[in-house]
Amino acid sequence: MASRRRTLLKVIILGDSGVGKTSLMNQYVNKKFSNQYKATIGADFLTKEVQFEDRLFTLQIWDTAGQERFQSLGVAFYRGADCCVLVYDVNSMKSFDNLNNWREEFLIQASPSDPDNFPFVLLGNKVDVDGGNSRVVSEKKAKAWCASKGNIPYFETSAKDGINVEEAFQCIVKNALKNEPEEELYMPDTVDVVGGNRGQGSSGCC
Amino acid sequence: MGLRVEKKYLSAGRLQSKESTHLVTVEESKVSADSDDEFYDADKVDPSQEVQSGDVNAEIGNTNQEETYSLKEELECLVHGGLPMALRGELWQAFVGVGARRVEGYYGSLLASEGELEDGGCSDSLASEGVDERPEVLSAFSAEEKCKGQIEKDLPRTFPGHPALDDVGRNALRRLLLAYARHNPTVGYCQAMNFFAGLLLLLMPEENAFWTLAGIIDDYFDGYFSEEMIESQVDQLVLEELVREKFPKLANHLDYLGVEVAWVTGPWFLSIFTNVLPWESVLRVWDVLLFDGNRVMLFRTALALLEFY
Repeated sequence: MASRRRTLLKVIILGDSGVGKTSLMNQYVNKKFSNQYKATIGADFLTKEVQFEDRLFTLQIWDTAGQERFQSLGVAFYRGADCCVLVYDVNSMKSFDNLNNWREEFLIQASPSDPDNFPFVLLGNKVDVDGGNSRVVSEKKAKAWCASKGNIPYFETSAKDGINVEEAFQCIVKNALKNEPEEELYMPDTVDVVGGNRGQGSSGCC
Repeated sequence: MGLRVEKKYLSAGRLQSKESTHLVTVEESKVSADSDDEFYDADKVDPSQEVQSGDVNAEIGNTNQEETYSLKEELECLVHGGLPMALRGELWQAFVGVGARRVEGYYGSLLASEGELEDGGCSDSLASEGVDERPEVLSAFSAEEKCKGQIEKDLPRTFPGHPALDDVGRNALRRLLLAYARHNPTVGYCQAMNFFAGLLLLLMPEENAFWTLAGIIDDYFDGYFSEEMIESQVDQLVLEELVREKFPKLANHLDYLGVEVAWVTGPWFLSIFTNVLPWESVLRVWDVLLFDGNRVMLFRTALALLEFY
């Protein structure tokens, strides 16, 4: 039973309203983009089977509503998350400025055992818009923020054109697995070994 | 739960006054119904049902309490069977008590300041980012700007592709949501209201839609869509208890998976099942919910859906 449980990886997507959280999730899971998404109310989730280093996992991706007040109810599902994906729109400075709030809110609500090393991944979405001409947040600025938060991996994505989406989610899976040793409730022995190796590997890549 | 039951009795009393409103509005509905038909299939209109509900109202006019009670049961039966599409807009207004709520000129006055802001307001989605950088902005002003920014984001995400939500339709939706945000600043604008407002606009004229929306959010869903969303949390805890009582096997399975009932059902309640169920079903849920005058129908529908699995 414990081993069955371990194959589930829970990922939470957070970010301002309209930055493309739902679109990114759908592009990754269904390989589709629609410019007719409805505003997300509360939260929604999709699952996808993924293979990583000969192990099969079920990735459970939680898509959240961007409007702040939904924070007051739907936050219990943050707990037990293996990775948190922060999304901003490269064409909106405000959505970038709010990343600190999203990160802090997540750490408060999810209260992971080791908040300093909890895996986050940052996605700068909508790089396709207007051929990049309406962009207001530079890659350099985003990377500087990532560096200041303990080397968060960063990807520039377009959910519309499918740019970097697959790559980003592979990194998300990898980082979610990095979180394994902290959950000693299930299969602690196996987890320690795998997690230890991976921890070293990814600190180099970030 | 006790309070909720009590509320139900209260609403039964309120219903009688609603029925008299209903009596007045039903006549008008036959006129306005035609204009609404273009949004929906006209073939859904059942002429026999239309006549029937007309009869019910004629009778209600000259009855004593006892007869009213049995007629109320009959009306309830008819509502549970689904309202005819051509009358739905009028009947919803009657259930919510729009006639009694309506204050002439109020809707216009809420939007009056919009005229002055029109120049800045139109390009708001771009302008709002600049506004936030000024530290000395009044909090009330910035709260409204926040609402406006969110409304602007959600307009194209409200039933995207629906033919009625063209530029004209979206402008009406924008006005309606902004008017509500000004009418009740403690709630302001909450995502999901865009879907309710969009639905109401398909069924009735703009100002009537405003009063219906105000009735639904202020009374039926008081404390639901405010910043704290406290009533929403209460409902989910109550529902969880009901699920444990009625479907212990399902509750245990969810426990095993580490999933709370509310994670699944919370969005159902918050959206009043829009985008959750097929349209025909959504409308039927709304029929009963608005007729009942409370949120019991949300629980019934959720439990019925959970029973499927």
